[in-house]
Amino acid sequence: MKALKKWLTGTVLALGLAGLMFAAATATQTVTMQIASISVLATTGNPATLAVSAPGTAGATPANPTSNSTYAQYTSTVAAGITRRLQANWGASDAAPAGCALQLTALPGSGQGTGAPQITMTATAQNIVTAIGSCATGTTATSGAQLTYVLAINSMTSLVAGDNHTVTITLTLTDN
Amino acid sequence: MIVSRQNFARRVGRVTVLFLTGAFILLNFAGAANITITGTWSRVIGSGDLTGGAGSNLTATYASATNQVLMGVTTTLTNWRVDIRRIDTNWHANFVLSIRRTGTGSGTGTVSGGTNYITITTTSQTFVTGSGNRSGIQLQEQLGGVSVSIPVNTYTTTIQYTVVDT
Repeated sequence: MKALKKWLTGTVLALGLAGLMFAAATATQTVTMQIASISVLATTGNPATLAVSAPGTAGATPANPTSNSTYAQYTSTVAAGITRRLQANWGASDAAPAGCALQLTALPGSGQGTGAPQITMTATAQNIVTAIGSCATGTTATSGAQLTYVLAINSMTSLVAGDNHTVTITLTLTDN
Repeated sequence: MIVSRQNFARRVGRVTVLFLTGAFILLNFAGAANITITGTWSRVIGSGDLTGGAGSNLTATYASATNQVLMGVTTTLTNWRVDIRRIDTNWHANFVLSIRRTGTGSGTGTVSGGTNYITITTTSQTFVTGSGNRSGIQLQEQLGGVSVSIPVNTYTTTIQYTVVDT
């Protein structure tokens, strides 16, 4: 009887111990995702020809020809606290027709950066959009930062009829 | 007095032997389970994942290979279940990490459930159930909620698998 009691006592204790011994087994696995830096830029095409035409009223100065039909579209991913800027310039040998200057303004959509003041095109890159963070402008025909080109007539007396200039504008999405 | 001490010592010895014997027997019957996980998943999401070039957003959802992870359970238990949860190291709140079972593996046991994606949260939840030994159970993972609004960084989380006696 005493032996039975002892065995039962041992059994009870062992059960408790066994219960403690088997809890739950675990294994782990690591998942790593990296969002890489992305800086991709395109335009929707070339602006219309900026042609100086006759004013409506004899004796008046011709209006500055304008084109706002194109957009800069970009996708940008940046680290926290980092921004980019969109800059524009033309080639060192490019120039506007005599008596004129080529001006450019960019109007980004909400969350796509901040439009900079109008620039007069030179061979040196200038900001047209600043504070571009992580964003995607969209890809439809009217998505992105609207580009407005103006051929500003600075000197009427310098205009030369038939003076055609084709220039190449380079847009660059660059880190600050 | 000396005799009493000897008797006491003998009694303690007998109880100890009985206890250890019982524990040995019962531990063998009580059973134990082990779970093994083979494989990790990493993915770099970059410009090649844009849905349509410049101006477009990133593809929102990415899936691993169907056999990205292999799970095995060895046990002396009759029935078991595997619970999963996420332990974040550096994880973005927009991410939605899911998992599903894409194979049954092999072995004398069985596995069932988990064939539809379930979202892995930081709270433990049942993933699959089974019985006996099963190895090479194929798992596939999926990451959703990706967009350009997520800052450039490397994000890491740990999936914890726990086998539980049922």
